[in-house]
Amino acid sequence: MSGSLRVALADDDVLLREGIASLLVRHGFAVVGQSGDASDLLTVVRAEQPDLVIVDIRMPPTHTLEGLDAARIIRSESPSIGLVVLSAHVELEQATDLIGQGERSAYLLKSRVNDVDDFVETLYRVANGGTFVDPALVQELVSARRVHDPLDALSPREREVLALMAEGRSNAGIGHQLFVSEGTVEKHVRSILMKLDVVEARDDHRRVLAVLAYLEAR
Amino acid sequence: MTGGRGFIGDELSALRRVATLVAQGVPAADLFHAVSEEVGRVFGEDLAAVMKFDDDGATIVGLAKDFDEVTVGTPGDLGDRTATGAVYRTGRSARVDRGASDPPLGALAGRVGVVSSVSSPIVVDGRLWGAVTVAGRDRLPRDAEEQLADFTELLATAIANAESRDALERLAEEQAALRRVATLVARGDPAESVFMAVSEEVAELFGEGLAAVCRFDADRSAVTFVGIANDLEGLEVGTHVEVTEETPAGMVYVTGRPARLDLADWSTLSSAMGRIASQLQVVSSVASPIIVEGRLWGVVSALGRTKPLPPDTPRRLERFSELIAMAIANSESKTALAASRRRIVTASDDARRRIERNLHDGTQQRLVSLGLSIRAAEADVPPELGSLRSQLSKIATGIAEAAAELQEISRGIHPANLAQNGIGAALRTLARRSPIPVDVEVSTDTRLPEPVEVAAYYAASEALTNAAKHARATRVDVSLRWRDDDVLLSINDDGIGGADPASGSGLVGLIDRVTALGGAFDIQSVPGAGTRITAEFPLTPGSDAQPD
Repeated sequence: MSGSLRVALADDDVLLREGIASLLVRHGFAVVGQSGDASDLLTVVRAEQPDLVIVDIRMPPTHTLEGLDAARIIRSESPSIGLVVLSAHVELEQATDLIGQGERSAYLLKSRVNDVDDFVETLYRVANGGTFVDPALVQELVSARRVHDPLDALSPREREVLALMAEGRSNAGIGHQLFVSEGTVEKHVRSILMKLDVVEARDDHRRVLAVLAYLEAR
Repeated sequence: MTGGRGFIGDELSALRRVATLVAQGVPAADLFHAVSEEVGRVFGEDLAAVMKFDDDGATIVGLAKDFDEVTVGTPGDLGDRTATGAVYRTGRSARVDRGASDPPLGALAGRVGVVSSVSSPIVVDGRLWGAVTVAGRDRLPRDAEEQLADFTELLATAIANAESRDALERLAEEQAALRRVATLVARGDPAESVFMAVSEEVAELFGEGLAAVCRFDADRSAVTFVGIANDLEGLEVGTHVEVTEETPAGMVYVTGRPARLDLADWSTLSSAMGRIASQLQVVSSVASPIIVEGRLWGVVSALGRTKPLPPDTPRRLERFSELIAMAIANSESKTALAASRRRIVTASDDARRRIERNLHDGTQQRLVSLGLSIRAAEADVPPELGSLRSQLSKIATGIAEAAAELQEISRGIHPANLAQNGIGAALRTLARRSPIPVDVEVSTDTRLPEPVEVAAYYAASEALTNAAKHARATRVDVSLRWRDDDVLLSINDDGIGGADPASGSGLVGLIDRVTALGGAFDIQSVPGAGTRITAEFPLTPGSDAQPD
């Protein structure tokens, strides 16, 4: 990738939008456009073809799912643009809706922007083809109680690995996170898949979808 | 034939036989036949009859022997030269000799050659009820009137008994009918069912199958039928009919008091109601006002087709109209109560939604922006001020935590997920966040009316909280089924049971929510046997809880 990542930003809260924009600039991104609603965002995106779009899910006029709808349109028009959808609260339905559209996507709690380093890292991962699901949602899914819970068969470390898989991390990323080698992670992953009787996915993006679906349906 | 009391033995045994029948309470028709036979036997004649009088004349109700010309049901002859006619006119026993032509003889008299007839009045409770008449081919004994009187007295007693028995039975039937209607009212059945029940009971009791409940229209020149007995052909619930003062319903709206009309031919009436009555061959009608909390609401009408309604009909109808008034008042206050509940629930839902929105779009955003400003400041701090930098970092982290807490709180206030993804998704989220395992089954992906979704969500949320907090349950099953015209939510846990809505738990608010939508709520919570909560939400048009 050459030069700065070019980012379009949409949020109806001007103060917050400016805050995020200055954060991005400070970290070497080029903010190519700022919008207060979805239709303006689409205009900017069509004109600028940015590398990344960061969009608030709730925007005028109805303050419901405008951001997600805009993301869907952008995905269909320009599949190579990375999509980062921010939401005041995380819901499984929205996550699978976004992630299900393809890789290069992240579904995040809005407050994640305050963990600046993690947030910036996530943006780069999305731009590089990664997928990311907010840990709060993954945690909710993993910790949901079941009468006969197949996750009971997992060791605590395996549960951690499973959660990181659901967040969209690669084996290398998980190893980095847990301070273990990628080989160790691979061993854990194989053990988890065997215990849960799940077929190994072909890539990290499909792995996220499969794990999310498994966690919800178990 | 010679007179005298030589027949006394025969007469006594005949009277004894009749008395036995009276004591056995045999049907009136059998008794009248038996008396005629016995009288005939005592006088050695087959021409004996029991006659019933009314305003129009006499009817034969008992006959010793049938003839071609004369049977039970034949009008009695009350002509000048008849003993029966004399009884009818004077109320005293009578005798006609020399060429009598007395009923039951009439046309028969000439053929069989009657020479003498005697008739004795049947007086029941001081009123002339009828007569027993005997005719002789020979001259009847001198004391025939006295002998006959023994039979008529016995008959009068039997008839009085039977009449009071009938009156008692009628009273009992009426009481039973009133009780049935009162039960419906007390149970809070819809007013419409009470209207139908009253129409049918009144039709049965007074109206030969004809009765109706009508509501006055706003201008009172017409009524709407709201309850109709089965046999009222051509009319149905909802039919509007114009009324005028010439019919009892119209009289009621002028006077506010019960009204009656007995008229042989209603076709002379010009109003629509009169024409309907005429088509139904009505000869008698009584209308009783329904007065709801001081205002004239409508009428209960009983209609007679073959004979005038009993004189006490207005008074007896009044009890039914009072019950109807009660049912209407109940239903009106219930409707008002439901509407007020609905307003309260809607207002509180709106408030919750507004607060959630303000928290998310206002306060939480502010916190996030504030956090970003501090991060920016942190980045601008010169490297030599390391401790300031770490202080700012701590503040930013604290703010992020506060934002996270706020998010939890706002989620509890109103689930944004419900409006966005529907009841199924919202219930599954609730289940994931429950500290005990929850199995969710939702039979539909179709969006339900918003008030139903919101009520079902809070019902499930409250039940899950209770199951986790108080019930010591190890699992909960939540199911939401969309049936034809309602939605059934059920929540079952395997906990200790014994939940009591009266003990001031969140269950009360839950019941309010469900009933505000016209739904039904039920809780089964036997100690030791878990708790089963069901809520039914109607989906019929109009159940949609719009604030009024």
